[in-house]
Amino acid sequence: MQPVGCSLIIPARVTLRRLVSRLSEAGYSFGDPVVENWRSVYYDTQDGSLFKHQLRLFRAGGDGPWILNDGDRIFAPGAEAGMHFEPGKLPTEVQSLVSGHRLIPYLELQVRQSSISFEGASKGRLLLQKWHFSGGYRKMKAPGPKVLCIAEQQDTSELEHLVVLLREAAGSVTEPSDPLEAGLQALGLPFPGTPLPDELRLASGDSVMRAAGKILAQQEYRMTANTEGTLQDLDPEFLHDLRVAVRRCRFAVRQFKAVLLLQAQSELKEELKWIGGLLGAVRDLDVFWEVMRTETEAVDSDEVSRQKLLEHVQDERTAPRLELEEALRSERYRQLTQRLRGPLPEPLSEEAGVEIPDTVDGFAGKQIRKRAGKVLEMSPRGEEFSGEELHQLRIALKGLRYTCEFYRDLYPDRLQRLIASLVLLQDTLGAHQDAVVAEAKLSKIAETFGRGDASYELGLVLGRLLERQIHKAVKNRARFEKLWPKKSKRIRKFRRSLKK
Amino acid sequence: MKVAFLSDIHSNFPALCRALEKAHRLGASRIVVAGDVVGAGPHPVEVIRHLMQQEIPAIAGNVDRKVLQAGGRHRDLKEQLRDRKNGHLAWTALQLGKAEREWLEALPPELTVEVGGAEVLVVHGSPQGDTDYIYPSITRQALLSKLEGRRPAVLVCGHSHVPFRRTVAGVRVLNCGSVGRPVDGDPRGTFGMVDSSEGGIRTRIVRFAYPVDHVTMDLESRRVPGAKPDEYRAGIKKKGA
Repeated sequence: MQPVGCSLIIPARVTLRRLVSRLSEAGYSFGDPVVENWRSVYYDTQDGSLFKHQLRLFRAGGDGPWILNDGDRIFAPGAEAGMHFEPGKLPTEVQSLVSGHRLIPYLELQVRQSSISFEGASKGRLLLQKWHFSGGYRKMKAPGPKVLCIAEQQDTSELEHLVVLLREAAGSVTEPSDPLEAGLQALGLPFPGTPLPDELRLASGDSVMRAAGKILAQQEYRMTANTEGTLQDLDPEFLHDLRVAVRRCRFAVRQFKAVLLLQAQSELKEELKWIGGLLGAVRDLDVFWEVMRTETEAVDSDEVSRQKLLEHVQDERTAPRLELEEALRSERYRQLTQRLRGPLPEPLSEEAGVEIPDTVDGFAGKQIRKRAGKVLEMSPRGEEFSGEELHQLRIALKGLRYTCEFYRDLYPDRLQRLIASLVLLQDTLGAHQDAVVAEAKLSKIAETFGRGDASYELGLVLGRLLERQIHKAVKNRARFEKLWPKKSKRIRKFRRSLKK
Repeated sequence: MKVAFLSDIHSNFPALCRALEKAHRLGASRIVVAGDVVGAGPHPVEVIRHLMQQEIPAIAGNVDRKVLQAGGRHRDLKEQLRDRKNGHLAWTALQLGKAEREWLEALPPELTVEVGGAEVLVVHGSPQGDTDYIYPSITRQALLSKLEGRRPAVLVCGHSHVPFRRTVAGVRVLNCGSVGRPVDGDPRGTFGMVDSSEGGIRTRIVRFAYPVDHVTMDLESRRVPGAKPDEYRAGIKKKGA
């Protein structure tokens, strides 16, 4: 027979001695208690791929076996944290979730456990655990619950009777929550992938002022959630998400200017520009470093040239990275996030010029139509888009996408496909832009090394890399030109539907 | 000397635990159970095992008897589960193991205990039988008729789930009410105490609170037929199915 067991949260005051005493009254006898300490570290990807699918991946003892828990199965893969995950080690349905991503340590669970065997109407072990959590950049700590586990039971019906006895002995019991959620909540840290709390979601009937407050608070939530990962430099996606949140904030301040105090607007703009600039400088180098890492492999570069190029990019990254870290730890940044989180000062009566609808519903529709109109105005003058036209279109598409995402909760089904189309267009333009930027950077590197004593091999590698970026830019531009007619039609159709 | 009399536990383990704790806190040196140990509630095994382990003397009540009568073949019991009114009897019978069943079968119909030299007669319904009732309004004549010539100092009973104490025809009548299924509008359980510690005999009714939600949760999770969690929360019992 498969052994069964269960876990219960009990009041902190309950001791093993008390439980043993009460169970002894019910005819149970006990062995000698064993005390041990152990810990587990919980991992997930930056975007919470596992968390979203109710999966938990943890490692026993820091360097022990890996364990995946999907509520039913326990599976021990054997991956390395902090590196690009090697597929083929986990069940197939999980591989696609984490392949290509880094595994980030989110939480450490420390357990002090007293265990004792028992025998009576049934046999098994009682494990009394005191949980402690730690996590985050500042290695914050928080106490956790006291958990009573019944293990190695042989009989399901006897397990039920034992639970009733233990419940009366302890005074009250509750089902334990998932350690990862409980720990992150206790530490005040966001869940992997930063799922938005319900209270920050827009609701039909919200005033425009309230909607503005919520949207800015949403971005602040994402900024704060990604600051830790950025500071620890765990995964470049943390910085990317932080930067995107800042950009969305800047856009939101412009969009809601009619309901924001002028002074508040200008102060927020200035602060967001400050942090956005620092983030952008590092992000550009992160992207370029990743390009160099993958592209030098693709062109089969010699190791010496490869290392020289990667070190060059890392060196360039050092100063902006330090400046960014200092900024993120500063009181100035803390105050910015506080302002975004807090209530917004309403505009003075003499500032309010534009008439705005009472509720966000009318306002949202108007903004989406306006932004869609701006995108549709951007038709190419010639047969295809020029470089400058593509640049302007990219900005307009970003504006439309942000606007759609702001009001997604008001149109949960309708905006889904449109946003997916905008993401595809943006990603294609983004890939084009990355290739153009990489081309420019490579040219500059070639110039720098050309003045020094660059080797023949290095020159060859740089040439091959440049060629590939030029090709990528051309390929993505062509791809965009092909996508544009169909996707712009979708945008036009959606815009028309909003007028009804 | 103080003795606590618990009646009509009806398979309510949290209530039994709280009753025993309170009885010990009040100085009871002995516990006696006045019948209807099982039936209706979700914890027949836990209750019986606890009484067995603590060697608490008990008598049989009418529901205990019905549970034993419901016994038979496993298949018959499963069919009886569908009966909304009496399905709980079959359900209880299905939970009992050999040891629990034997203990229940061995329960006598009445007990006599001595408290400070006074004779205390313990019955479930009345001295006439486990389905007979003794209400607060009982007359001298009626009580003497039920006693059939016996004159204990104290008559302890249960069955009605309505706690009261009265002296009738020189006999102190103590109805303990119900530990596990009160019906007088107060969801707290009750038990009775007989005290001979300060010379003479005194009786009292004791009320105690217990975590009703533990019981209602288990009534639902264990799918006890005919369970009425709301009645436990309100401390009432409605007529009919």
